[in-house]
Amino acid sequence: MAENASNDIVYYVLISASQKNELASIRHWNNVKMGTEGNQIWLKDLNYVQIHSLEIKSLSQKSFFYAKGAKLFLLNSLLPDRNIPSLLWTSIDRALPVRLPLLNHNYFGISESVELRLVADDQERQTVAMITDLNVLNRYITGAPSVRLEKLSWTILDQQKVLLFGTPQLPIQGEVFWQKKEFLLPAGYDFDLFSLTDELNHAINSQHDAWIIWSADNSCFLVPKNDVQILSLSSFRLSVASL
Amino acid sequence: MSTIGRSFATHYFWPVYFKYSISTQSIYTMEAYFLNMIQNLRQQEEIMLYVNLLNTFPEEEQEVIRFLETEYQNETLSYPYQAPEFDAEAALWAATTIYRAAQLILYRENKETELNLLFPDFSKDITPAAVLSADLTLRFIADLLVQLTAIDSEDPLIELLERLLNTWHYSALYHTVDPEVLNFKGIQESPCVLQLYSDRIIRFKKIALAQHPACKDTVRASLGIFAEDFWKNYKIETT
Repeated sequence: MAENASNDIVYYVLISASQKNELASIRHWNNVKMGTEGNQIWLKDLNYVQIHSLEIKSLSQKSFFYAKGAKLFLLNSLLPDRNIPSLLWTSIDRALPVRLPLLNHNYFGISESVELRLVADDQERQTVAMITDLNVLNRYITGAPSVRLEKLSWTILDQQKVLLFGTPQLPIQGEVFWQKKEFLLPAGYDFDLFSLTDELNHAINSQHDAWIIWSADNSCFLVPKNDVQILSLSSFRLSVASL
Repeated sequence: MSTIGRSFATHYFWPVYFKYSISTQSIYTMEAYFLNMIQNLRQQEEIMLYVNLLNTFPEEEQEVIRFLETEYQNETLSYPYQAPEFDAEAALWAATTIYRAAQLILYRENKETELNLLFPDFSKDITPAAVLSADLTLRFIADLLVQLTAIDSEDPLIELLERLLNTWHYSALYHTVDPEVLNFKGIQESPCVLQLYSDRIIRFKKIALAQHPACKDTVRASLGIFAEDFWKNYKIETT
Protein backbone atom coordinates (compact mmCIF):
# COMPACT_ATOMS: atom_id res chain seq x y z
CA MET A 1 0.00 0.00 0.00
CA ALA A 2 1.24 3.51 -0.75
CA GLU A 3 2.38 5.43 2.27
CA ASN A 4 0.18 8.22 3.42
CA ALA A 5 1.48 11.32 1.70
CA SER A 6 0.53 13.57 4.59
CA ASN A 7 2.57 11.48 6.99
CA ASP A 8 5.95 12.00 5.44
CA ILE A 9 7.45 13.62 8.51
CA VAL A 10 10.86 12.19 9.37
CA TYR A 11 11.21 11.18 12.98
CA TYR A 12 14.36 10.99 15.03
CA VAL A 13 14.99 9.07 18.23
CA LEU A 14 17.76 9.77 20.67
CA ILE A 15 18.93 7.15 23.15
CA SER A 16 22.04 6.66 25.20
CA ALA A 17 24.86 4.44 23.96
CA SER A 18 24.38 2.07 26.89
CA GLN A 19 21.02 1.04 25.39
CA LYS A 20 22.62 -0.17 22.17
CA ASN A 21 21.70 -3.80 22.80
CA GLU A 22 18.04 -2.91 23.08
CA LEU A 23 18.08 -1.99 19.40
CA ALA A 24 18.37 -5.64 18.38
CA SER A 25 14.61 -5.87 18.00
CA ILE A 26 14.51 -3.13 15.34
CA ARG A 27 17.66 -4.11 13.48
CA HIS A 28 15.62 -5.47 10.59
CA TRP A 29 13.96 -2.10 9.81
CA ASN A 30 15.98 -1.35 6.74
CA ASN A 31 14.71 2.23 6.31
CA VAL A 32 16.23 3.30 9.63
CA LYS A 33 19.67 4.90 9.77
CA MET A 34 21.86 5.17 12.82
CA GLY A 35 24.59 7.57 13.92
CA THR A 36 26.67 7.85 17.10
CA GLU A 37 27.49 11.13 18.83
CA GLY A 38 29.56 10.83 22.00
CA ASN A 39 27.71 8.45 24.25
CA GLN A 40 24.43 9.04 22.49
CA ILE A 41 22.87 7.14 19.63
CA TRP A 42 20.66 8.78 17.02
CA LEU A 43 18.14 6.92 14.92
CA LYS A 44 16.63 8.73 11.96
CA ASP A 45 14.17 8.19 9.11
CA LEU A 46 11.63 6.40 11.29
CA ASN A 47 8.06 6.67 10.09
CA TYR A 48 4.88 7.33 12.01
CA VAL A 49 4.02 3.67 12.48
CA GLN A 50 7.49 2.80 13.70
CA ILE A 51 7.54 5.65 16.21
CA HIS A 52 4.39 4.26 17.78
CA SER A 53 5.43 0.65 17.62
CA LEU A 54 5.97 -1.58 20.60
CA GLU A 55 9.66 -2.02 19.76
CA ILE A 56 10.37 1.69 20.06
CA LYS A 57 8.05 2.28 22.98
CA SER A 58 9.77 -0.45 24.95
CA LEU A 59 13.14 1.33 24.81
CA SER A 60 13.80 2.42 28.38
CA GLN A 61 14.97 6.01 27.85
CA LYS A 62 14.43 7.89 24.67
CA SER A 63 13.53 11.27 23.24
CA PHE A 64 11.49 11.68 20.08
CA PHE A 65 12.09 14.42 17.57
CA TYR A 66 10.71 15.39 14.25
CA ALA A 67 12.56 17.28 11.56
CA LYS A 68 11.39 20.48 9.93
CA GLY A 69 13.83 22.46 7.85
CA ALA A 70 17.25 22.01 9.40
CA LYS A 71 15.85 21.93 12.93
CA LEU A 72 14.73 19.14 15.18
CA PHE A 73 11.55 19.66 17.20
CA LEU A 74 10.64 17.59 20.22
CA LEU A 75 7.60 15.48 19.49
CA ASN A 76 4.39 17.39 20.28
CA SER A 77 6.34 20.62 20.56
CA LEU A 78 6.25 23.56 18.19
CA LEU A 79 9.55 25.01 19.36
CA PRO A 80 12.78 23.93 17.72
CA ASP A 81 15.01 22.08 20.13
CA ARG A 82 18.30 21.75 18.26
CA ASN A 83 19.86 21.52 14.83
CA ILE A 84 19.92 18.25 12.95
CA PRO A 85 23.19 16.69 14.08
CA SER A 86 25.65 16.15 11.25
CA LEU A 87 26.77 12.60 11.76
CA LEU A 88 27.98 9.71 9.71
CA TRP A 89 24.67 7.91 9.12
CA THR A 90 24.81 4.20 8.42
CA SER A 91 21.95 1.79 7.93
CA ILE A 92 21.05 0.16 11.19
CA ASP A 93 21.87 -3.41 10.21
CA ARG A 94 25.41 -2.38 9.28
CA ALA A 95 25.82 -0.23 12.34
CA LEU A 96 24.80 -3.13 14.58
CA PRO A 97 26.67 -6.16 13.22
CA VAL A 98 25.62 -9.55 14.49
CA ARG A 99 28.30 -11.35 16.42
CA LEU A 100 28.16 -15.12 16.03
CA PRO A 101 29.72 -17.42 18.60
CA LEU A 102 33.04 -18.83 17.52
CA LEU A 103 33.20 -22.41 16.36
CA ASN A 104 34.46 -24.62 19.15
CA HIS A 105 36.96 -26.96 17.54
CA ASN A 106 37.23 -29.02 20.64
CA TYR A 107 33.58 -29.94 20.67
CA PHE A 108 33.05 -33.54 19.75
CA GLY A 109 29.33 -33.95 20.24
CA ILE A 110 29.04 -36.28 17.25
CA SER A 111 27.01 -38.85 19.08
CA GLU A 112 24.13 -36.45 19.40
CA SER A 113 21.25 -36.71 17.02
CA VAL A 114 18.30 -34.61 15.98
CA GLU A 115 14.77 -35.79 15.99
CA LEU A 116 13.01 -35.46 12.68
CA ARG A 117 9.36 -34.75 12.76
CA LEU A 118 6.69 -33.11 10.69
CA VAL A 119 4.90 -29.99 11.78
CA ALA A 120 1.72 -28.48 10.40
CA ASP A 121 2.46 -25.91 7.76
CA ASP A 122 -0.07 -23.46 6.35
CA GLN A 123 1.67 -22.66 3.07
CA GLU A 124 -0.33 -23.67 0.02
CA ARG A 125 1.40 -26.17 -2.21
CA GLN A 126 0.55 -28.23 -5.27
CA THR A 127 0.04 -31.86 -4.42
CA VAL A 128 1.77 -34.23 -6.82
CA ALA A 129 1.16 -37.69 -5.45
CA MET A 130 -1.55 -39.72 -3.82
CA ILE A 131 -1.66 -43.00 -1.96
CA THR A 132 -4.99 -44.67 -2.28
CA ASP A 133 -6.63 -48.02 -2.05
CA LEU A 134 -6.52 -50.39 -5.01
CA ASN A 135 -10.30 -50.86 -4.86
CA VAL A 136 -10.96 -47.12 -4.77
CA LEU A 137 -8.82 -46.65 -7.85
CA ASN A 138 -10.46 -49.63 -9.52
CA ARG A 139 -13.91 -48.11 -9.07
CA TYR A 140 -12.87 -44.85 -10.68
CA ILE A 141 -10.52 -46.04 -13.39
CA THR A 142 -12.87 -48.44 -15.18
CA GLY A 143 -14.96 -45.49 -16.35
CA ALA A 144 -12.24 -42.87 -16.46
CA PRO A 145 -11.68 -40.63 -19.47
CA SER A 146 -8.27 -41.35 -20.96
CA VAL A 147 -7.29 -37.70 -20.75
CA ARG A 148 -7.30 -37.89 -16.94
CA LEU A 149 -4.94 -40.87 -16.92
CA GLU A 150 -2.43 -39.82 -19.55
CA LYS A 151 -0.43 -37.50 -17.36
CA LEU A 152 -0.27 -39.83 -14.37
CA SER A 153 2.09 -42.62 -13.45
CA TRP A 154 1.63 -45.19 -10.77
CA THR A 155 3.00 -48.11 -8.85
CA ILE A 156 1.54 -50.72 -6.52
CA LEU A 157 2.94 -50.37 -3.00
CA ASP A 158 1.68 -53.56 -1.48
CA GLN A 159 -1.27 -55.74 -2.31
CA GLN A 160 -3.76 -53.05 -1.34
CA LYS A 161 -2.20 -49.61 -1.75
CA VAL A 162 -1.21 -47.76 -4.89
CA LEU A 163 0.85 -44.63 -5.39
CA LEU A 164 -0.34 -42.23 -8.09
CA PHE A 165 2.03 -39.62 -9.38
CA GLY A 166 1.33 -36.49 -11.42
CA THR A 167 -1.14 -33.64 -11.79
CA PRO A 168 -4.04 -33.13 -11.96
CA GLN A 169 -4.76 -35.82 -9.42
CA LEU A 170 -7.73 -38.11 -9.81
CA PRO A 171 -10.97 -37.17 -8.05
CA ILE A 172 -10.82 -40.03 -5.56
CA GLN A 173 -10.12 -40.31 -1.86
CA GLY A 174 -6.61 -40.88 -0.64
CA GLU A 175 -3.68 -39.39 1.22
CA VAL A 176 -2.11 -36.63 -0.83
CA PHE A 177 1.53 -35.61 -0.84
CA TRP A 178 3.58 -32.67 -2.01
CA GLN A 179 7.08 -32.90 -3.32
CA LYS A 180 10.15 -31.44 -1.69
CA LYS A 181 13.37 -32.58 -3.39
CA GLU A 182 12.83 -36.32 -3.53
CA PHE A 183 10.60 -36.37 -0.50
CA LEU A 184 6.89 -36.80 -0.70
CA LEU A 185 5.49 -35.12 2.38
CA PRO A 186 1.87 -35.31 3.47
CA ALA A 187 -0.07 -32.24 2.37
CA GLY A 188 -0.22 -29.60 5.09
CA TYR A 189 3.02 -30.71 6.74
CA ASP A 190 6.65 -29.74 6.45
CA PHE A 191 9.78 -30.84 8.26
CA ASP A 192 10.29 -29.21 11.63
CA LEU A 193 13.96 -28.75 10.67
CA PHE A 194 13.24 -27.88 7.05
CA SER A 195 16.73 -26.63 6.29
CA LEU A 196 18.05 -30.15 6.80
CA THR A 197 16.05 -31.39 3.79
CA ASP A 198 19.06 -31.50 1.46
CA GLU A 199 21.26 -33.37 3.94
CA LEU A 200 18.47 -35.74 4.74
CA ASN A 201 17.71 -36.38 1.10
CA HIS A 202 21.34 -37.24 0.51
CA ALA A 203 21.59 -39.39 3.61
CA ILE A 204 18.51 -41.47 2.85
CA ASN A 205 18.68 -41.55 -0.92
CA SER A 206 22.27 -40.99 -1.98
CA GLN A 207 21.73 -42.57 -5.42
CA HIS A 208 18.78 -40.25 -6.15
CA ASP A 209 16.93 -43.15 -7.72
CA ALA A 210 13.95 -43.34 -5.40
CA TRP A 211 11.13 -41.31 -3.94
CA ILE A 212 11.09 -41.04 -0.16
CA ILE A 213 7.57 -41.22 1.10
CA TRP A 214 7.22 -39.69 4.52
CA SER A 215 4.02 -40.58 6.30
CA ALA A 216 2.24 -38.40 8.80
CA ASP A 217 3.14 -40.90 11.54
CA ASN A 218 6.82 -40.04 10.92
CA SER A 219 7.81 -43.27 9.23
CA CYS A 220 9.22 -43.35 5.74
CA PHE A 221 9.86 -45.78 2.92
CA LEU A 222 11.50 -45.65 -0.49
CA VAL A 223 9.87 -46.25 -3.85
CA PRO A 224 12.38 -46.77 -6.70
CA LYS A 225 11.73 -44.24 -9.47
CA ASN A 226 11.99 -46.99 -12.09
CA ASP A 227 9.02 -48.76 -10.54
CA VAL A 228 6.72 -45.84 -11.28
CA GLN A 229 5.06 -46.54 -14.62
CA ILE A 230 2.65 -44.68 -16.89
CA LEU A 231 -0.92 -45.18 -15.75
CA SER A 232 -3.37 -46.59 -18.26
CA LEU A 233 -6.42 -48.74 -18.03
CA SER A 234 -4.65 -51.71 -19.63
CA SER A 235 -1.63 -51.35 -17.35
CA PHE A 236 -4.01 -51.29 -14.39
CA ARG A 237 -6.00 -54.32 -15.52
CA LEU A 238 -2.93 -56.40 -16.35
CA SER A 239 -1.20 -55.51 -13.08
CA VAL A 240 -4.24 -56.26 -10.97
CA ALA A 241 -4.74 -59.56 -12.78
CA SER A 242 -1.16 -60.58 -12.00
CA LEU A 243 -1.41 -59.77 -8.28
CA MET B 1 9.71 -58.09 -55.86
CA SER B 2 10.72 -54.49 -56.33
CA THR B 3 9.88 -51.71 -53.97
CA ILE B 4 9.36 -48.15 -55.00
CA GLY B 5 10.19 -46.29 -51.85
CA ARG B 6 7.90 -43.35 -51.31
CA SER B 7 7.51 -41.89 -47.93
CA PHE B 8 4.89 -39.31 -47.24
CA ALA B 9 4.71 -36.76 -44.50
CA THR B 10 3.08 -38.43 -41.57
CA HIS B 11 0.92 -37.01 -38.88
CA TYR B 12 0.12 -37.52 -35.26
CA PHE B 13 -1.57 -40.67 -33.94
CA TRP B 14 -1.90 -43.01 -36.87
CA PRO B 15 1.00 -42.60 -39.14
CA VAL B 16 0.54 -44.84 -42.11
CA TYR B 17 3.56 -45.27 -44.29
CA PHE B 18 2.78 -46.17 -47.81
CA LYS B 19 5.02 -48.56 -49.63
CA TYR B 20 4.02 -49.31 -53.14
CA SER B 21 5.33 -52.68 -54.14
CA ILE B 22 4.85 -54.39 -57.40
CA SER B 23 4.84 -58.13 -57.22
CA THR B 24 6.21 -60.00 -60.18
CA GLN B 25 4.66 -63.23 -59.07
CA SER B 26 1.56 -64.61 -60.68
CA ILE B 27 -1.66 -63.79 -58.94
CA TYR B 28 -2.56 -67.47 -59.04
CA THR B 29 0.17 -68.49 -56.62
CA MET B 30 -1.93 -68.31 -53.53
CA GLU B 31 -0.36 -65.68 -51.31
CA ALA B 32 -2.26 -64.35 -48.38
CA TYR B 33 -2.24 -60.77 -49.61
CA PHE B 34 -5.31 -59.79 -47.67
CA LEU B 35 -4.12 -61.27 -44.38
CA ASN B 36 -0.61 -59.88 -44.85
CA MET B 37 -1.93 -56.47 -45.63
CA ILE B 38 -4.19 -56.35 -42.57
CA GLN B 39 -1.44 -57.68 -40.30
CA ASN B 40 1.01 -55.17 -41.69
CA LEU B 41 -1.47 -52.37 -41.21
CA ARG B 42 -2.18 -53.27 -37.60
CA GLN B 43 1.39 -54.05 -36.56
CA GLN B 44 3.59 -51.74 -38.62
CA GLU B 45 0.92 -49.20 -39.57
CA GLU B 46 1.96 -49.41 -43.20
CA ILE B 47 0.43 -51.05 -46.22
CA MET B 48 1.93 -53.04 -49.05
CA LEU B 49 0.18 -52.98 -52.41
CA TYR B 50 0.57 -55.89 -54.76
CA VAL B 51 -0.92 -56.64 -58.11
CA ASN B 52 -4.52 -55.56 -58.37
CA LEU B 53 -6.33 -58.33 -56.58
CA LEU B 54 -9.60 -57.21 -55.15
CA ASN B 55 -11.14 -60.52 -54.23
CA THR B 56 -10.50 -62.32 -51.00
CA PHE B 57 -10.70 -66.01 -50.24
CA PRO B 58 -12.90 -67.53 -47.54
CA GLU B 59 -10.02 -69.37 -45.79
CA GLU B 60 -8.08 -66.16 -45.71
CA GLU B 61 -11.07 -64.29 -44.34
CA GLN B 62 -11.26 -66.70 -41.41
CA GLU B 63 -7.58 -66.03 -40.72
CA VAL B 64 -8.18 -62.29 -40.83
CA ILE B 65 -11.09 -62.59 -38.42
CA ARG B 66 -8.98 -64.65 -36.02
CA PHE B 67 -6.18 -62.11 -36.21
CA LEU B 68 -8.49 -59.13 -35.71
CA GLU B 69 -10.18 -60.81 -32.77
CA THR B 70 -6.82 -61.15 -31.00
CA GLU B 71 -6.10 -57.52 -31.75
CA TYR B 72 -9.52 -56.59 -30.43
CA GLN B 73 -8.95 -58.49 -27.18
CA ASN B 74 -5.69 -56.60 -26.69
CA GLU B 75 -7.33 -53.28 -27.33
CA THR B 76 -10.28 -53.90 -25.04
CA LEU B 77 -7.84 -54.03 -22.12
CA SER B 78 -7.64 -50.27 -22.37
CA TYR B 79 -11.32 -49.69 -23.07
CA PRO B 80 -13.36 -48.19 -20.22
CA TYR B 81 -16.30 -50.01 -18.62
CA GLN B 82 -17.33 -53.37 -20.10
CA ALA B 83 -16.23 -53.57 -23.72
CA PRO B 84 -18.78 -55.11 -26.11
CA GLU B 85 -18.13 -58.52 -27.66
CA PHE B 86 -16.12 -58.75 -30.86
CA ASP B 87 -18.26 -58.47 -33.98
CA ALA B 88 -16.59 -60.66 -36.59
CA GLU B 89 -18.82 -59.55 -39.45
CA ALA B 90 -18.19 -55.87 -38.94
CA ALA B 91 -14.46 -56.44 -38.52
CA LEU B 92 -14.27 -58.44 -41.74
CA TRP B 93 -16.40 -55.95 -43.63
CA ALA B 94 -14.13 -53.08 -42.51
CA ALA B 95 -10.98 -55.04 -43.33
CA THR B 96 -12.28 -55.83 -46.82
CA THR B 97 -13.23 -52.21 -47.32
CA ILE B 98 -9.82 -50.86 -46.42
CA TYR B 99 -8.10 -53.62 -48.42
CA ARG B 100 -9.99 -52.68 -51.56
CA ALA B 101 -9.67 -48.94 -50.95
CA ALA B 102 -5.93 -49.32 -50.57
CA GLN B 103 -5.64 -51.38 -53.76
CA LEU B 104 -7.55 -48.73 -55.63
CA ILE B 105 -5.03 -46.08 -54.65
CA LEU B 106 -2.66 -47.54 -57.20
CA TYR B 107 -4.61 -49.84 -59.45
CA ARG B 108 -7.68 -48.72 -61.34
CA GLU B 109 -8.82 -51.24 -63.90
CA ASN B 110 -12.46 -51.06 -63.00
CA LYS B 111 -14.95 -48.58 -64.29
CA GLU B 112 -16.19 -45.87 -61.97
CA THR B 113 -19.65 -47.38 -61.98
CA GLU B 114 -18.27 -50.55 -60.43
CA LEU B 115 -16.96 -48.71 -57.39
CA ASN B 116 -20.22 -49.09 -55.51
CA LEU B 117 -20.16 -52.82 -56.11
CA LEU B 118 -16.71 -53.07 -54.59
CA PHE B 119 -17.85 -51.24 -51.47
CA PRO B 120 -21.14 -52.71 -50.30
CA ASP B 121 -22.70 -51.11 -47.22
CA PHE B 122 -22.58 -53.01 -43.96
CA SER B 123 -25.72 -55.10 -44.01
CA LYS B 124 -26.47 -55.29 -40.27
CA ASP B 125 -27.25 -52.74 -37.59
CA ILE B 126 -24.43 -50.59 -36.40
CA THR B 127 -24.15 -51.81 -32.83
CA PRO B 128 -21.51 -50.67 -30.32
CA ALA B 129 -19.72 -53.97 -30.96
CA ALA B 130 -19.73 -53.28 -34.70
CA VAL B 131 -18.41 -49.75 -34.20
CA LEU B 132 -15.41 -50.93 -32.18
CA SER B 133 -14.68 -54.05 -34.24
CA ALA B 134 -14.80 -52.14 -37.51
CA ASP B 135 -12.65 -49.39 -36.04
CA LEU B 136 -9.68 -51.79 -35.81
CA THR B 137 -8.99 -51.21 -39.49
CA LEU B 138 -11.43 -48.48 -40.46
CA ARG B 139 -9.49 -45.92 -38.45
CA PHE B 140 -6.87 -45.91 -41.21
CA ILE B 141 -9.35 -44.79 -43.88
CA ALA B 142 -8.73 -41.14 -43.02
CA ASP B 143 -5.07 -41.67 -43.90
CA LEU B 144 -5.98 -43.27 -47.19
CA LEU B 145 -8.13 -40.26 -47.98
CA VAL B 146 -5.13 -37.98 -47.55
CA GLN B 147 -3.26 -40.05 -50.13
CA LEU B 148 -6.18 -40.22 -52.51
CA THR B 149 -6.72 -36.47 -52.32
CA ALA B 150 -3.04 -35.88 -53.01
CA ILE B 151 -3.21 -38.04 -56.15
CA ASP B 152 -6.52 -36.84 -57.53
CA SER B 153 -8.84 -34.64 -55.51
CA GLU B 154 -11.78 -35.33 -57.83
CA ASP B 155 -11.64 -39.08 -57.50
CA PRO B 156 -15.17 -40.50 -56.96
CA LEU B 157 -13.64 -42.95 -54.48
CA ILE B 158 -13.02 -40.05 -52.11
CA GLU B 159 -16.68 -39.14 -52.05
CA LEU B 160 -17.60 -42.77 -51.48
CA LEU B 161 -15.21 -43.16 -48.58
CA GLU B 162 -16.28 -39.88 -47.02
CA ARG B 163 -19.87 -41.00 -47.09
CA LEU B 164 -18.78 -44.21 -45.43
CA LEU B 165 -16.94 -42.25 -42.75
CA ASN B 166 -20.07 -40.26 -41.98
CA THR B 167 -21.73 -43.54 -41.07
CA TRP B 168 -18.73 -44.92 -39.16
CA HIS B 169 -17.81 -41.60 -37.64
CA TYR B 170 -16.11 -43.05 -34.56
CA SER B 171 -13.28 -44.10 -36.90
CA ALA B 172 -13.32 -40.77 -38.68
CA LEU B 173 -12.76 -38.30 -35.86
CA TYR B 174 -9.27 -37.58 -37.10
CA HIS B 175 -10.78 -36.63 -40.43
CA THR B 176 -13.44 -33.96 -40.73
CA VAL B 177 -16.98 -35.20 -40.45
CA ASP B 178 -20.17 -33.23 -40.74
CA PRO B 179 -21.82 -33.26 -37.27
CA GLU B 180 -25.24 -32.55 -38.80
CA VAL B 181 -25.64 -35.91 -40.52
CA LEU B 182 -24.20 -38.21 -37.87
CA ASN B 183 -26.21 -40.97 -36.26
CA PHE B 184 -25.25 -41.57 -32.65
CA LYS B 185 -27.40 -44.62 -32.03
CA GLY B 186 -24.56 -47.14 -32.04
CA ILE B 187 -22.42 -44.83 -29.95
CA GLN B 188 -24.84 -43.95 -27.19
CA GLU B 189 -25.99 -47.49 -26.51
CA SER B 190 -22.81 -48.43 -24.71
CA PRO B 191 -21.10 -46.29 -22.04
CA CYS B 192 -17.83 -47.81 -23.19
CA VAL B 193 -18.16 -46.54 -26.75
CA LEU B 194 -19.53 -43.19 -25.64
CA GLN B 195 -16.53 -42.66 -23.36
CA LEU B 196 -14.10 -43.73 -26.10
CA TYR B 197 -15.87 -41.39 -28.49
CA SER B 198 -15.55 -38.43 -26.18
CA ASP B 199 -11.89 -39.33 -25.53
CA ARG B 200 -11.30 -39.04 -29.27
CA ILE B 201 -13.18 -35.74 -29.44
CA ILE B 202 -10.86 -34.41 -26.76
CA ARG B 203 -7.75 -35.89 -28.37
CA PHE B 204 -8.48 -34.39 -31.77
CA LYS B 205 -10.08 -31.23 -30.32
CA LYS B 206 -13.26 -31.45 -32.39
CA ILE B 207 -15.20 -28.54 -31.00
CA ALA B 208 -18.25 -29.03 -33.23
CA LEU B 209 -18.68 -32.56 -31.90
CA ALA B 210 -17.95 -31.51 -28.34
CA GLN B 211 -21.05 -29.32 -28.57
CA HIS B 212 -23.18 -32.03 -30.14
CA PRO B 213 -26.09 -32.92 -27.81
CA ALA B 214 -25.19 -36.62 -28.00
CA CYS B 215 -21.75 -36.25 -26.45
CA LYS B 216 -21.76 -32.77 -24.91
CA ASP B 217 -22.27 -34.04 -21.36
CA THR B 218 -19.69 -36.81 -21.57
CA VAL B 219 -17.04 -34.47 -22.94
CA ARG B 220 -17.75 -31.92 -20.25
CA ALA B 221 -17.66 -34.58 -17.54
CA SER B 222 -14.39 -35.94 -18.89
CA LEU B 223 -12.69 -32.57 -18.81
CA GLY B 224 -14.20 -31.66 -15.45
CA ILE B 225 -12.68 -28.60 -13.81
CA PHE B 226 -9.45 -29.14 -15.71
CA ALA B 227 -10.82 -28.14 -19.12
CA GLU B 228 -8.23 -25.37 -19.22
CA ASP B 229 -5.35 -27.85 -18.81
CA PHE B 230 -6.54 -30.48 -21.23
CA TRP B 231 -8.12 -28.38 -23.95
CA LYS B 232 -7.10 -24.80 -23.90
CA ASN B 233 -9.83 -23.30 -26.06
CA TYR B 234 -12.67 -25.56 -24.90
CA LYS B 235 -14.23 -23.02 -22.53
CA ILE B 236 -13.83 -20.12 -24.91
CA GLU B 237 -15.44 -21.95 -27.78
CA THR B 238 -18.29 -23.53 -25.84
CA THR B 239 -19.42 -20.39 -24.03
